[in-house]
Amino acid sequence: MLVRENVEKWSDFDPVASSTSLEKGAYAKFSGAPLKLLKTNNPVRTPSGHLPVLRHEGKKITKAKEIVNYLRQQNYGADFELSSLESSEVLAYISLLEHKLAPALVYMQWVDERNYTEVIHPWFRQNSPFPFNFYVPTMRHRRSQARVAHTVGEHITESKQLEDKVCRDAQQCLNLLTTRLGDEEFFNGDMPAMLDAIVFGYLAPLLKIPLPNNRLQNHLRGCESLCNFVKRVLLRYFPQSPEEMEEERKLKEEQQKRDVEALEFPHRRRNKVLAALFALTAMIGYALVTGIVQVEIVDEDRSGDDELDEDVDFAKNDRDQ
Amino acid sequence: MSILTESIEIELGASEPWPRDAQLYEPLETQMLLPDIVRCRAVEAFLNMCHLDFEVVHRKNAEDMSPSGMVPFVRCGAFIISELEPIVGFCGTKGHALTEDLSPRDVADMRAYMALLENTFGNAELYMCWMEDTVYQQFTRPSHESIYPWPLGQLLTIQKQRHTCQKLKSLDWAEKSTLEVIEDVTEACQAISEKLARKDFFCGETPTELDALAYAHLHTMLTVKFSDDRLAEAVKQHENLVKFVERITETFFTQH
Repeated sequence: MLVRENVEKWSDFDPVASSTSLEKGAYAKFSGAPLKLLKTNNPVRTPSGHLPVLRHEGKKITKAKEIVNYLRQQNYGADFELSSLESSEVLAYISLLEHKLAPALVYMQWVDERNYTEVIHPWFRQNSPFPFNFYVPTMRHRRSQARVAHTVGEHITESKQLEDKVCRDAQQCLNLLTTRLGDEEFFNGDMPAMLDAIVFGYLAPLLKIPLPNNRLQNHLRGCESLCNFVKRVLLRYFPQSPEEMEEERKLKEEQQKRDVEALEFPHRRRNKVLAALFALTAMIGYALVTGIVQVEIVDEDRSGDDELDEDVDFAKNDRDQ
Repeated sequence: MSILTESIEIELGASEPWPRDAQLYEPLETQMLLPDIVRCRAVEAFLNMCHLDFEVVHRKNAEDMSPSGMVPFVRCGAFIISELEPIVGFCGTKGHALTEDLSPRDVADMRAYMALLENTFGNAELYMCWMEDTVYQQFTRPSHESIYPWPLGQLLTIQKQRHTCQKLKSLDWAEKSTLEVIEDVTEACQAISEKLARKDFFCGETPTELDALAYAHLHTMLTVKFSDDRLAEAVKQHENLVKFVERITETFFTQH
């Protein structure tokens, strides 16, 4: 049976790649399921607002666990060869990653002020479809803040301390992973399995996304075996190399720049007109309140008033006389 | 606490031996909820495994006294250290480490299993206490309210519940059903049962902090009685885990 499956994911190696998307993509590739990875950034097209989505014969599956189970039902599994002890270890390492590394990844991408405002937010603004680009990044920013605070500790209030704590945990986790991997090609011997997919899902974005605050990235670069591991997976299972993606992205960026310039032209004129209008209104307003126009009105009134006053004066004089 | 002050403290602490009058501060027993019981039990087990003397002091405001807002904490000479992980580190600097004989690979595995316990069991306990309605009404609310005067207790409990729900929500646990939570626990029990196999301790012949933590979780799930005993059932499916709990209680908690 030829199975055509699509996993839709937040785009690959453009700045923001979601770990779970990559992880599922990698898992499916390891298990040899023929599937097509589609890049999308439109949360409306998914049933629950989360990516990735696996589509197969009209079914849509979003939850990570369900995707793995579904692939397994279709006889595409990457870890049939593991013993039960190894499977339990995999479960333990997944928890370790979720507990120690995931908060750091979220922190670096979504919470760190500089990274968020300089890279993540602009990228999302540009690459999400129209109404969502306004609220999706901000929403995720806020949710990520809550998540990091809840996992790392509510008692830490200063951002510097929070960063220290998050990074320390993550560095510890990376060191443990390095130890676990040792000199092996993959975490469970020669063939990649579930754990490899998940580790790859976490490490690839960490290694590839260029962020201004790259404290964790530097640490990861120091762990040579992990870097080699990521490169190995990329080469073997994601044949469209990052360079190609890079080129594609550059092309896109140029296109966008042109678009932006083209868009800017009428805006500039409109802004000028608006500014001129505003200045004019302000000046006229000012003139109305204190200036010449009022004098004219006062002139008319005063002439009447003067006459009246004179009349009154005359009357007064008459009475006096 | 920044890395710098922490490392200075550890350096300073290392020069002195473990004092005789170390105190472990815990909340009152009537007021403790599942996660608190686990944390206190884990630290007690760890200190007992290191054969360190300490005295347990119960204070009803222990949570507010702790530097990190988590119970329990150790007062050891001039130092106050809270939670299991920092306490393990602190004891390590004084030469009381349980992992010295392990290979780096074993230490990595041990840490991974500890994360599994904290992630799955820890969150499941929080979920059961604060989001499972019957447990919340019968166990959590009365014990959490017990130490405060009337209107304050109600208010603080509601506040705490809201806070915990937000926490679980941000960790994607809030939308799980109780059944799914129990399934997760069963899966984790299966995993640690595989790891323990027929050994005395998780990492071979000697106890480690993983044993302390696993013991605390399993013991609590087995002994604290709810109307809903599905957590205990999940543990009881694995005979080696039950025996492990009995063994540790006998070896390290008989003098208490």
